[in-house]
Amino acid sequence: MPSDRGLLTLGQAGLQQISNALRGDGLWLDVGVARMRVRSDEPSLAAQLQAVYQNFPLQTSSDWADLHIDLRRQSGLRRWLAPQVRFFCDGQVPFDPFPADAALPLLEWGANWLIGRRCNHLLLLHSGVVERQGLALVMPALPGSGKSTLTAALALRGWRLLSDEFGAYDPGEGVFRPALKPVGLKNQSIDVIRAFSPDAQLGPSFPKTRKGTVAHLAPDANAVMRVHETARPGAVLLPRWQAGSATQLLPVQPQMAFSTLAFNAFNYQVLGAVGFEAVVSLTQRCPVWQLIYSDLDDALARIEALWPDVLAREAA
Amino acid sequence: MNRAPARIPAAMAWLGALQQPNVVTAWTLPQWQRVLRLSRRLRLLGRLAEQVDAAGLTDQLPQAVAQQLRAEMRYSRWRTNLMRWTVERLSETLADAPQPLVLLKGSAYVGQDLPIAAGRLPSDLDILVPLEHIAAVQARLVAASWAEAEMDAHDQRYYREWSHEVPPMRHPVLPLELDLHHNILPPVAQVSVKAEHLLARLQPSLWSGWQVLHPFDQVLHSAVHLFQDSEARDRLRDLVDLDGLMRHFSAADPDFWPGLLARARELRFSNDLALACHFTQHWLGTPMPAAASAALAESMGWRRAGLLRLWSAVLTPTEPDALPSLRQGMAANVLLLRHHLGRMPLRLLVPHLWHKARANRAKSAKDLIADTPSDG
Amino acid sequence: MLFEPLGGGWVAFSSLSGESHLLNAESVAVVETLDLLQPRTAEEVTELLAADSGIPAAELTEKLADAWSMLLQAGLIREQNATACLQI
Repeated sequence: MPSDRGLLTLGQAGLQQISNALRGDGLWLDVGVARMRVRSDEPSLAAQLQAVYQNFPLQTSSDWADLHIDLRRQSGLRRWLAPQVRFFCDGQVPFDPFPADAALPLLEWGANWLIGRRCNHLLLLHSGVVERQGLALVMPALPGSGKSTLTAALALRGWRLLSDEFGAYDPGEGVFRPALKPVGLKNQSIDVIRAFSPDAQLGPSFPKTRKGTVAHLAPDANAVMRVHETARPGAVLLPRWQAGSATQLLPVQPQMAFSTLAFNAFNYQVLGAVGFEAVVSLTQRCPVWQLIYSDLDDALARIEALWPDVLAREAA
Repeated sequence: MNRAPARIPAAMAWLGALQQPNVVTAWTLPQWQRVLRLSRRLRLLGRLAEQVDAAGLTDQLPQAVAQQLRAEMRYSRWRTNLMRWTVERLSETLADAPQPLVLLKGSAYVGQDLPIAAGRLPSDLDILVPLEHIAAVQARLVAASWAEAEMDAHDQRYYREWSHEVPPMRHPVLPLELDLHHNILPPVAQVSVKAEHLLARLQPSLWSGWQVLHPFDQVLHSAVHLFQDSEARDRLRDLVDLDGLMRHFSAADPDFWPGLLARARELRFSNDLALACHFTQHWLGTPMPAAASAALAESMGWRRAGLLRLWSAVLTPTEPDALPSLRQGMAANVLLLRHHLGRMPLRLLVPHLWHKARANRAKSAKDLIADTPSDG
Repeated sequence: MLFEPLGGGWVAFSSLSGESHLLNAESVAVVETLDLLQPRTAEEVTELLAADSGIPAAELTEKLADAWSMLLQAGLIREQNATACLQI
């Protein structure tokens, strides 16, 4: 179905159109905190982008991008023996090459790295963020948290996805901004989400990456349409998946919450006093809970039940 | 009298904004996009951002541009502040030191609060201490929790025998790496200088207990570093620094130029100074007396035309969407060879380069694997 | 220097070191007793706090020992000729 403004989405466009754009001036993808321009001579990338950015408008020209990314096939003998692809940004190669059939993971991780390094006008929490009724639910990434699984599940159950990677907090406005990229799922999470929602728009799986098997959930049309719509801070949930446990919500003390958020942010130190004030503000405004769970559906139900109180508290 | 420089190549015209930021208000979005991409790669974005901000222009610019400028200013100020703090902690550790403690390069510029101190991206702290005091200073540092970076036997030997630095030191809490020098050039190199010459003319900095090289020696160190030593990506930034140093110091000292040339002759750095002045004049418009200009050009002799062509090819930044030209690649290789041959004998060079390449690959692999981004 | 009450204690930020810290009661007491205009020695601070709180000076010196070194290292206070001076 065409998007609201009658523009073609990547999902509706022909593969050749996407391929031509990648080989030409580029494909523009607006993820909110940054407008990316992607070029590549790697043939497999067009279909991969079509899958995971399927609801994004097809944009093949613009006079502005914040990130200029070029994924180039490695030249030389390696081209045939073990083809590789390299990530260029403005003529620099910050990373080692990836196998040519894993171009999408390289693009996603590389773009995330650039966002994390550059967007210092915002406080970037390493978190998943979803929104309901104008308020943001922030889920910091901690080891074993399963934040991406939870973020994906919430996005599939009617919460608006802002990001699975960046809690991009604007300290001036006091709001969260979308950093809308495909949700990166690893290993078992992929199967969990497939089982959770058989219609989920999942892209191809990439086995044997440095983080195991990786696949991406495409942001839905609603999230894409509202990519510049902000959300006020609502609540912070520190998820912890624990096999066999019942769903529990445990309040977290303010000083603990402060430390967790400060450590969790990519660029807390870079922002200095601004970062300090922002985390203080978030800690004062938002209730913070630890969410221990093993059953995804039950966890979601618990979060849903929580939300009216969060709304009421914010309104007060 | 100063002679107006020849017209600046169009591709370099944007560098003028670093001295005259008002020009940026006329830049279109495509122009801004090119400059932001170029200056970021060249590590000059912070400088540009600070100049534009100091002129009160940031708010007048398109939002997307202003955001990038402000973001980079934050990043640069954070790193510069870290450097200041590290120096302060070092002062505690090395207080009452009998020997001079000399700030070098970026730390010297920040320590003198020079115009070129703004918008820098320090990742390490360079200080110089006389060779005979190095061991004592290191001992004090180790007692204060500084540790030598882990390295294998090859690297250790490189540092101990061939280099003018000791292996970099790290602290568990302070994030900047400490590079302790006892000279500004490797003693084994063909081009070298006796440390005593530099130590004889130290000047105070704005930080008590810390000194800097004489202004002439700061300029010469920068020139020699650029043409003998630096990483490819920093070269234009070094040129901008040189222009900044020369403008600042010559404004304060009417005898600056004759004095600088005399010192260059004395230390046998005239060649590098001549190269530096050629490019700062022609690309950045550094005001220079005609006599000084002519004397330096002459000092380069028959090698001049060839060297200028090579360096011009190497120093010219590649446009953002283009890949480095073949010509540029070849020129870079010639110069790289010259640089390495100048630094160490050939029998030592090959294992060293292989080793360096391996270390760089290992580092970049580590960066991508880590969950949190790290600065490249 | 930024200080905010949070939970039962305080959080602090030093623009000097760029570090953020959670402060316990002892550290906050020391910092509150110092100010830029009046550098004080450690002994003076202990005396003032002893008078304020009613805790004997000897006991206080022990409690505060850790706080001093931590505050100095964190850049929340700064030495000036052997007296500590709150850095703004």
